[in-house]
Parts: sequence; structure tokens; C-alpha cells
Amino acid sequence: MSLGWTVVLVNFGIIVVVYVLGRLIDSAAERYDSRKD
Amino acid sequence: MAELITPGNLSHLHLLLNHFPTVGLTVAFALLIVSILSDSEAMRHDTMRPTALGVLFAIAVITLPVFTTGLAAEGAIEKVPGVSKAAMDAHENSALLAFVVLELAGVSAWFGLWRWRRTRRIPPGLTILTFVLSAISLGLMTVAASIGGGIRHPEILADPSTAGAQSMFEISAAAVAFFVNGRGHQWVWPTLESAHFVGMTLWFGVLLVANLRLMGWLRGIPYPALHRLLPWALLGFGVNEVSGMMFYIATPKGYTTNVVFYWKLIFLLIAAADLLYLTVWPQAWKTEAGTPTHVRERLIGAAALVSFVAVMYCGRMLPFLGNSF
Amino acid sequence: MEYLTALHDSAFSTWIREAETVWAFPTVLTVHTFGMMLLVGSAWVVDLRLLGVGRTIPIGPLRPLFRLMWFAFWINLATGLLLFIADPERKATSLLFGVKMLLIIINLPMLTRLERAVYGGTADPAVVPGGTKRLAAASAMLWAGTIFTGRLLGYM
Repeated sequence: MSLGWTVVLVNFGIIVVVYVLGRLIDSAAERYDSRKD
Repeated sequence: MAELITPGNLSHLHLLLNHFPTVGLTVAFALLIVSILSDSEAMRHDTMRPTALGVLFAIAVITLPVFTTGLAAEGAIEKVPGVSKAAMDAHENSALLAFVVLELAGVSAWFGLWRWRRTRRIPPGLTILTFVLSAISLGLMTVAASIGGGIRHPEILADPSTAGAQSMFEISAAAVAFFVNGRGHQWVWPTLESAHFVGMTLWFGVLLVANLRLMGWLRGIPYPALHRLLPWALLGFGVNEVSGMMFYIATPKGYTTNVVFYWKLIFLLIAAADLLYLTVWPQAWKTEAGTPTHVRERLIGAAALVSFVAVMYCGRMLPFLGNSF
Repeated sequence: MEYLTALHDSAFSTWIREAETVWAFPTVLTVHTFGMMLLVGSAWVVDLRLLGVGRTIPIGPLRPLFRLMWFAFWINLATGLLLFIADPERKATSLLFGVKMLLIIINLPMLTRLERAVYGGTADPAVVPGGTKRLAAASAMLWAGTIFTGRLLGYM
């Protein structure tokens, strides 16, 4: 696989992982943010 | 400023900074234990434990330049007679593992602080996770430190011929270097660079909006809502720290004697301090939509934004301003 | 092609490309990176919010970020032009460069449509229709692609 495609694929993979992690954390915040001071 | 980069200064800087992940980490860990064992609700949730987490996070952050100055010190003294290259390699490898675990502990501590600001309580799971990761990293730091001591002081080793003996637990820096630079791995560096840019835009975007709010702009947004985005900044930082460390470990020579890289780290530390401030700032929860902010917040926001641009500037200008590559 | 060669040989192009001062190519590149930071950074925040992240953030007050994005775009158009002038022949004949330009050209009207979709109607900007979400996601991915192709251009 050419260099360019590898860069694109791996990076989109990283973006997907970051997005999934971020959304999980955000939904947890949605659920548990019942109290604010 | 470049004339400050001397072998003596680089070694000295490492010896100075390495007290943070050893002595400092011990103190932070002790604070955490006290906060766990304490009977007082206040100690657990208002004072001691958030403080312990904050100190832990700060130590995780400052250990980044501890690691980088370590490689710089290696470059500075590797030709000195009587210094064991094997000991230095063993130290570097065990330190790398200890560093990785410490960074994970720092991330865990940060999430504890983030939850604490949002709900006045630190989830027990995060406390336990932070405790376990800190304990492991403290153990690993101790091992790394004692191997490191053997580099110049074989007299502290029970058996001086073991200077250079490896710890059971280590990540090989050579393996990282091979992954990045090895034959057939041409795709790695450009991929990591692209990831580095993406991570940068992510943490900058989130912290830009948060600091603009600190400065009194985007006033229609209540700050607590922006606070919820902070983990994304950490994720961006995370991608950049991992990719950055890979660049550094694979080709330290371009960075260790480049004064621009030291400036980048300094501004990075300021950026991390801003993240900590944004996370735990007490006024944050009272800054609703329309609430103006005080001068202190505006100054902090402005200083933070300048630091972010400075980090990018130093990073981008590294090959041009410095003497690298 | 001769125009490109003439451009390449011009004093201005030569200055950007070869001048020993930090104010030539390095500065142009750094300002271009700064624009990217502003543009894509803002885009992540807006697009994430439109996709439903951080639902307590009101969408209305995010509108100035669109102005910021356009401001950053103009910075990058200008610096991008300078970067092109510094190396016109190779850029103009590069597939990679063409792809990057294509991604941007597709994304710009999407950005306009996105702003209009969110803020243009009388509907409460807090409600984000599904089509707008897809637009936001697509736009974000186009920016990512723009970053990748741009970075790869640096290796040309």
C-alpha cells in the first residue's frame, strides 16, 4: 500500500478511536452530572 | 539562550528534575493514601484527595521534561570515560516504562479531578485506579532510579558488575526507534506527524473556546458546558504526547541540543497548567451564560492562548530556528 | 508550464523559497499552520457539538466560530498562495496538491450550508436535524483529509 494511503488510513483510524473514546466519556458525563455546586 | 545548552547543564537539568517523579511522586502517593484512609468526609472529597490528584497530575506533566532531559543527558555524557552505555540503556528502558505508567496515572488523576469539579465527588473507581497506577509507577520509578544511580556511581550497587543489568520490566527504547525508523517503516513518521497535527488542532480547538470564555467572549455559553469538553483536549494532548515521544525517542539528536525544543516544552508546561486551572477553577461553576469574568481570568486566558501558539510556533520552527535535522 | 517556470524563477518565488531569513518560507509555513489550528480547531468544536457532544452547550453562541473559521481560511488562502508561488511547477503537477485543493473546494460550500442549516431558519438552533449532523461529520472528515494531504505535501 502506498505511503499516502497508509497515512490516511491509520490516521482516520486514530480519529475514530479518539472519537469513540470521547463520546463514551461524554455520555458518562451526561449520565452522572446530576449535581453541580 | 542556545549557549545554555551545554553537556554540563543538560546533565544537571536531568538530575534536578528527576526528583519530581521520585520524591514528588512519593509525596503525592502519601497524600493519596492519607485521603483514602481518612475518616473525614472533608478530607476525602473537599481537600486532601483533590489536592493529591492535582499534585499527581502535575508530577505526571513535569515528568515529560524529566524523560526528555534524560536523553539529553545521555547525549552529553555518553563519551565520558567510566560511564557505562549499558547502564544508560537499561536506565532509559526501565524509565520509559515507569514514565508510561505514570502518565496513565496522571490521566486517571485528571479524570478524578474533572468528575470532582462536576459533581463534588470523586468516583471510587477512579480513586482506586489512580491509586493502583501510582503505586505501580512509584515502584517502577524506584527501579529506574536505582539503575540510573549506577551510571555514575557503581559504588552504590551491591555488585558493580551489574551496572547495566536490566530490570525485568522495561520498554525498549530501541524497539520504539526501530518502529519509527526501521527498514520498511517509511510510513510511520509521516503518519505520526499527521496524527500530531490532528491532535494539536483538537486540543487547541477545545482550549481555545474554553479560554475565550475565560476572557469574556462567547459569553452566551455557560462555562460548565465547556468544561464538559475538556476530556477531548486531553485526548488531543494524549495523541500528541505519544507521537511526540516517538519522534523524540527515535531521533533524539535533533531535539536534545535544540534550544527551540526546550522552549516548546516550557510553553507546553504552561498549557498543561492552564488545563489544570480550567478543570478545577472554582469560579467555573458560577460562570453561567452572560456572567462576566474577572481580570485574573482574562489574563490567564490570554496567557494560555499565547502559550498555545508558542507551542505550535516552536514545534513548526524547530528545523529552521534550531540546529536540527 | 512556461508560466510556472517563469514564476519559479522570479525574484519573489526565489526569495520565499531560498532566502536565509526566518521571515521567508519558515514564517509563511508557520502562519499557514496557525491558520490551520484556528480553522480546524474551531471546526472540531462546532462539528462535535452538532453531532451531539456536550449537549449542554447552547448552539446559538457558537456562531462566532464560523466567522473565526472564515478568517482563518483567508489567512491560509494567502499563505497557501505564497507556498504555491515558492514551488509552482511541482505543486501544479502534483496529484496530492490537486486532491488537497479538491477537498477544500468541496468543503467550503459545505461550511456555508452548515452555517445556514444551523442558524438560517427560524427554528430553535438547539435542535439539530439528522442531515445537518451528516454535513458536520463530512465537513470534519474533509478537514482531516486536508491536513493529511497537506502534511504529505511537505515530503514532496
